[in-house]
Amino acid sequence: MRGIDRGRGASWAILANVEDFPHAPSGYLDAVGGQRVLDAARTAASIAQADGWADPTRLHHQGRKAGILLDAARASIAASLTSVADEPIAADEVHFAPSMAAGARAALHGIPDGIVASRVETALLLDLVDERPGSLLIDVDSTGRVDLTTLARALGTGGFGCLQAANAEVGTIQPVSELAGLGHGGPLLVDAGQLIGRARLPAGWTVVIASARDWAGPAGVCLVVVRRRARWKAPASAIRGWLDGFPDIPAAIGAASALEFVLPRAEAEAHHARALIDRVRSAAAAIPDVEVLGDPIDRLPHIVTFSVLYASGEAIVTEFDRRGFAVASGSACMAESQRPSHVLAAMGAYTGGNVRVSLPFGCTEASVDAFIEALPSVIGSIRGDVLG
Amino acid sequence: MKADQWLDERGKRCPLPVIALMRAAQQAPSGHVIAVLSDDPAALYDIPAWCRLKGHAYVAVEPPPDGGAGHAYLVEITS
Repeated sequence: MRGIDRGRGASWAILANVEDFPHAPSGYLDAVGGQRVLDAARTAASIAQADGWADPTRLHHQGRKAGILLDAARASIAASLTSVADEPIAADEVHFAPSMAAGARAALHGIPDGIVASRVETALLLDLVDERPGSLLIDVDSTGRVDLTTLARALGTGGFGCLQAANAEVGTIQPVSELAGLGHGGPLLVDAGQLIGRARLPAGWTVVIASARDWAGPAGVCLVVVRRRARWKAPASAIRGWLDGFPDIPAAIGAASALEFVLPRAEAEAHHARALIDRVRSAAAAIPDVEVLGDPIDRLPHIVTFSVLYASGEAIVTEFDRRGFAVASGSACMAESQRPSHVLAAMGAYTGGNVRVSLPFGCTEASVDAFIEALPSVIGSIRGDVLG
Repeated sequence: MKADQWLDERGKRCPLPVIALMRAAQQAPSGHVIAVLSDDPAALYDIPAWCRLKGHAYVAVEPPPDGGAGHAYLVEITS
């Protein structure tokens, strides 16, 4: 089990008296879809608004003030990430982008060759991988975990790999650090979506991308952490670590402050979430013709997805909403593309009637208990409607 | 493979084709082959997954015999 608890014991102990996360809205069980931005992040961002608006590359007073704030955000994030990673991270290895797509594009900047990626990377990464001739997608097993041997063989010793730290749809942890053990020494892009603030960052990456939304920071800022030894050159448009567009310094400060708030509380929160999700898994599995997906043990603490035969994802999500619960679905009827989730498809899972529960920080036991209590009757009422 | 029974579920979306298949399977003897015609993109994943979950054999996916839209999914009922 890879909890966050392998961090530096002393730092957790010092902060043992910190207040808990504020309670998440009652019945809100869609952390992947978004979380309320932490007050700590909002306050810090709003203070940074006053001084962080000039071009941080300018040599005048206002430019230097903005530059100091941007550098402070990078240093704070480097220190925070170091506390949950197996290798230290320096401030100048931390970069920002306004979106995961922009971050991924910048991370892959100058990579000419094919990329070997798992079939269950996010759609935006798969789009970028597909653009490159010679790219290859590697199958996953029924839990959504990539076939490590095939991935390692396809990468050889130096190929460019792309592997998420965990799957954000079903929660399964991917074998990132295990790759190096199989001889891969080439560059590895790790999408840490939904991992930061929930579990430790595995070793073995060259570039990590992550969205500050995952740790209840502001929406418009993502991290691109690049190893100094990597043969990577920032795009020409980059401004002092901000890789695409004009730096949103208040957002960077908000992301750093949110991470500072989350990490000291992350270990306790992960234990709390893991126990609650175990209860959801058991409750769902007890209902006939429901399949609980993803690895039951080696998983993100706060996410579970299950498939419900003979019910549509849309009907389930709508009925839960009517009863005061927010959940998500990877079913085709819920996607703008009208295609089922490529992750569920790659796993060989039943894609219709799909429900994803993801606990926001500060999710209460009462919210989860009420959801568990409602679950059989929600499914029963929808099946009754369609089965007659 | 020749089907014993055809279900034309074209124009219907998830979960209706799978529900039709489940109903037909309840009445079918072991070895009975049911062909489900469906143009729902989810059927490509959901009919094999349903077979796995219910212990039936997913035999093949073929073009529809009438040359129309979608696919014919062949399922052999085992009990």
